[in-house]
Amino acid sequence: MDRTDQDMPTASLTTVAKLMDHELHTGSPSTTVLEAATMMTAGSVGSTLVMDGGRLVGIFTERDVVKALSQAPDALRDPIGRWMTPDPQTISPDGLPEEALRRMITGGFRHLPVIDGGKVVGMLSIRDLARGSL
Amino acid sequence: MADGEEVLTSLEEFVRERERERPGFRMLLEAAVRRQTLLHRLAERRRAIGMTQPQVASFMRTSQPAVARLEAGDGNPRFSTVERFAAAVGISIDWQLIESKSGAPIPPEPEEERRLGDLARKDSIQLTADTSLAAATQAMHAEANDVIVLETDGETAYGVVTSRETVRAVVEGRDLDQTPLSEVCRLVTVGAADPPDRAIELMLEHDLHRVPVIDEESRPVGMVWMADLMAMVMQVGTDGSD
Repeated sequence: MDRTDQDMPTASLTTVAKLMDHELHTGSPSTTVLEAATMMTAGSVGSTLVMDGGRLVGIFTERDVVKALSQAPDALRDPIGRWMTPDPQTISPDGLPEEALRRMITGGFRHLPVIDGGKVVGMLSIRDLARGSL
Repeated sequence: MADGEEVLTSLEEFVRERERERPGFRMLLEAAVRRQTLLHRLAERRRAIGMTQPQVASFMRTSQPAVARLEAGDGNPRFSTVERFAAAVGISIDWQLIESKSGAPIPPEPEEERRLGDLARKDSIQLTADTSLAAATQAMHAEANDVIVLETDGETAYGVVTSRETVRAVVEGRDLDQTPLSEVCRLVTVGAADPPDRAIELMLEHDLHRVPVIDEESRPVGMVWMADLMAMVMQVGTDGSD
């Protein structure tokens, strides 16, 4: 029998690599909340990868801006290192969309940094999965 | 005790009743049971020969969770998938054609149509348009949700405010206490009778993750979540979490 990728179960004809955003929006732990908010607005994205040197140390999202402002009046001048989610879950570029979605739903988040051999190569959002499903 | 028999009797009654409403129900039910039994037996075979789910997954060129779902008998796997599962555990499947008793074709189960009214989460934040963005931001954080914006009459819903509005407002240097939701609200809603695809399209178009669902009189029904719709579309279990 001719076995092609087309008879994969669970309808995965694609991988994370094909759906992810290759453009990286990054900051460092000392980037301020206002700077990160400005970058996210300019880039029309919902998250910032927080890098220390070449290493991913956290993720800072729009929801973290909301959290920071709800809890501290002066949060806009705070470093994002204070409000980010440290050591976020990640996924590999050859991961399956179903697995990515399962992790997002279980963890209650919308972004998964894509890591290949210890290096950040992209960002996968639940929107990327939605776009891939239509 | 007769308890077991009673259960069987009521099950048999249920099947008979459904068979009256929908000829062919019994046969479809039996087919579903046979399908599950087949998958469970293949799972037993895998364990008997000492293979793990990841090993089977790598033979099938799929993921371990996909094998777990297959073994659980969830969903409706393709013929070819079941055959590859069987092959991975050293089994070949013989399909047998058996004519239905009446010889008549059995109509397929009607597709269950899910509408956004059924899919909306009812635990939503609803604030009137004159509420400050500062108050809405507090609520968004406290409830981990977006805001359904109501007309000042408090009856009808007309838009949504998300963390993106808060982020934009601070970037523009606005005072959140002095910014009413009416100034930043995005005018997006979906109807309770609309199909799920409509909400996904709107979410992609407007860069939203949740959209207010309204009834015919524009009263809010709840909030539909992209995560819920995607879990349904991609047949991924949600375990009831965010």
